Amino acid sequence: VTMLLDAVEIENFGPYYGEQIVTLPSESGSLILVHGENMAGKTSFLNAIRWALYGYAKDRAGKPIPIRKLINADAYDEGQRRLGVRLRLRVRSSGQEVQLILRRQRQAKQGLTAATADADYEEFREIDFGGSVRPASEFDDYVNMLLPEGISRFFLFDGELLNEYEELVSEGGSHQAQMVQQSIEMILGVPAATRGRDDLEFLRKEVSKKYQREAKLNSSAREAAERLENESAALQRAQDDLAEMNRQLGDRERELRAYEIELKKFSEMREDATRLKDLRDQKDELDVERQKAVRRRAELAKDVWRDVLEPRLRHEIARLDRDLRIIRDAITEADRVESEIARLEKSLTQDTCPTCGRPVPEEHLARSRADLEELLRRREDLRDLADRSRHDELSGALGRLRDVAPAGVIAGIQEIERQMRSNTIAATRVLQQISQVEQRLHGSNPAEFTEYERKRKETNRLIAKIEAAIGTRQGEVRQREAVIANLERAINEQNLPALRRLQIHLDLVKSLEGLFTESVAELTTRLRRSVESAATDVFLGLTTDPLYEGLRINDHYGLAIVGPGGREVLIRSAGAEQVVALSLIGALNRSATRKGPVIMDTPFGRLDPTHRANILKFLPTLGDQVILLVHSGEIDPDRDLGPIATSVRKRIVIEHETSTRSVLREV
Amino acid sequence: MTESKPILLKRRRSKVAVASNGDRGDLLEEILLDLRPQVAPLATPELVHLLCAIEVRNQFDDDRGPARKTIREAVENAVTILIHEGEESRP
Repeated sequence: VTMLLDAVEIENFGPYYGEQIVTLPSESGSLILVHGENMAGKTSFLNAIRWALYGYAKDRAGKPIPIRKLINADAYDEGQRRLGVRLRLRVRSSGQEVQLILRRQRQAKQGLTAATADADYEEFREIDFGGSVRPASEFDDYVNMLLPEGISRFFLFDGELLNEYEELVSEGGSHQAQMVQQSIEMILGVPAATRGRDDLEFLRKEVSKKYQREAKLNSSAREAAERLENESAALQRAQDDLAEMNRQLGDRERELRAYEIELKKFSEMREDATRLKDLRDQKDELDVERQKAVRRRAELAKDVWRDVLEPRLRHEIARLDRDLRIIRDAITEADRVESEIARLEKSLTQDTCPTCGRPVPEEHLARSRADLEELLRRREDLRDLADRSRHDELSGALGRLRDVAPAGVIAGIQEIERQMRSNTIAATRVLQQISQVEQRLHGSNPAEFTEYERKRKETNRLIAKIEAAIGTRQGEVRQREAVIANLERAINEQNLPALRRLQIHLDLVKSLEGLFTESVAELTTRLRRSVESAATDVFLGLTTDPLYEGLRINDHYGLAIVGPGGREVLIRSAGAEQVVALSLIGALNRSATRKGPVIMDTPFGRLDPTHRANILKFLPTLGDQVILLVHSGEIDPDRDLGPIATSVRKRIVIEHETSTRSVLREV
Repeated sequence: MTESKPILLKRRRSKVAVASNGDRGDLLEEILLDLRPQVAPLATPELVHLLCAIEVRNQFDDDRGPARKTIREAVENAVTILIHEGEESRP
């Protein structure tokens, strides 16, 4: 049986003032996104559907919200004392489709204006199945047949399931975990077997009584029949006692587990205290490192101007070097010219050759005079350029500039700043961890530890006492069953014609009771295997870790991640928990006996972008109609919708108009 | 295998019930039929099939009266058949 939502009509419910209607597509694989920021009314939308079906809405702590608080504040201020939700549903089964309309309304009793208590509001329920108006008394029957409350947690997913799921995997068997386990078995169809067993037990007792009454009418069997009747009554009393003792045992065991959880918290608290000290030490070390880095950076910063000036200095030095070289070359040339002039002037003062003593020819003298004139002109040209004082000045300036060499400290400062950034990230992380541990430790009272130890001891003593009493009573039950069997045999052996039919009847009902009893264990085993396989299938599509091989199911339907070599992964992140929980939900939806719209409130809270993308791709396969209530931090329409754009059949935005009013708008 | 029945079944006080025998009935029936020869040889496969279908259909119904009434009738019919067959097989 599949149930899908065609439309939701809300009147004065939570932030929704007046009447608001949203229609929803219901083709197979429809993904519907309802966008809304925090406090806009996403959870109220989910609550409206829950309220219409089951008559209650839950607050964040999972407690029912009073009617007075459910009525829209503006409507209440205007004097309206009424709220209602109508669900238009489509029910599909065996190829047929029928429209079902369910409407729940609460209205203040006439004359009541304050109407604060739930009892001040009358309830009206309407039901229309396939165009035929049904009596309001059948409302719950229809809801039970289509989407029983016990399995609603797998359709109306409000994040609370995740916490309940964590209880499941803890193997603690807490009350909450047992509730989830019951819901899972319900969604999988186990009640068909357990109720069959109970019904046949009821019928067996009925036939047995008839048999005893009939046997008593026969003189030869009367004595045995009377004893049989007495024994059966005593057996019933013993069984009732046993059931009561088992109930008490269950209660005590639950208490014990609760104490053990508290005691475990204390042991965790001690670990937390040690961890807190370590974290604070880490924080101190990080602070010291940071201070050192700040000092180092300040020292390096003194010379950083050299590195900043370095390109301009390099240019200036090259220019001065070039100028200096020109002056130096000019001075060398001037010296050479001067010495040549001196040599020529000296030779012109002598008329004869100093070696041979003969007179110097006139043309030689004329050439020497011409050379001298040339050299004198050259000396004149070089006079300004070969400026020795300028040379010394430039040489001094160049020396000073070369002293201002780059320090090479910028890279060092950059490295220190990188270290400081890492330090800031590490310190933030440590601070977050410190805050988490401090929150866990907040309000804990170590003195309670002794009290819990005492309670645990006392409960253990009680459990041992009840177990001993159960053992005695079980012995009595076995004994009486044997006596009853002997008495029945004795009566049977008389082969009385009047009892023949009842004997066959009793044998048949007994064997059928046994058949259903044995089927329960076999059915749950096979269903667990089927859920494990389906969950593994979903999980491998969702996880980003290639080392994970699958999931393994325990007796409580808790799922463990199986890593390399078939070993269970013991430590799981919050994100991994969410992926495992979604795998379980996916598996249950695939294996469920009832299918309905899956409505998830803020499902991506703990997920990184890769997991989110994987889950977005998976969601359209989760059910025929998947409605996601998301805020912009979870799904950004521009960023995240690409891979699933074809599956998104509708987008609705919850607009927060005022602090007391929101509007549902189709995009 | 349990046969799928139509969606709308007339039920007590003309109440309309939505039911499908295909709901997990196939697996439960397979198990019951596997166990039957050892645990309940007196019961015929037809009777097991019928009881399974009744329980699957009523699994979410808290009012057990109607289910028990149907089962009672089915078992009584089976007893009549067993007696009849027993008499016929007597020399």
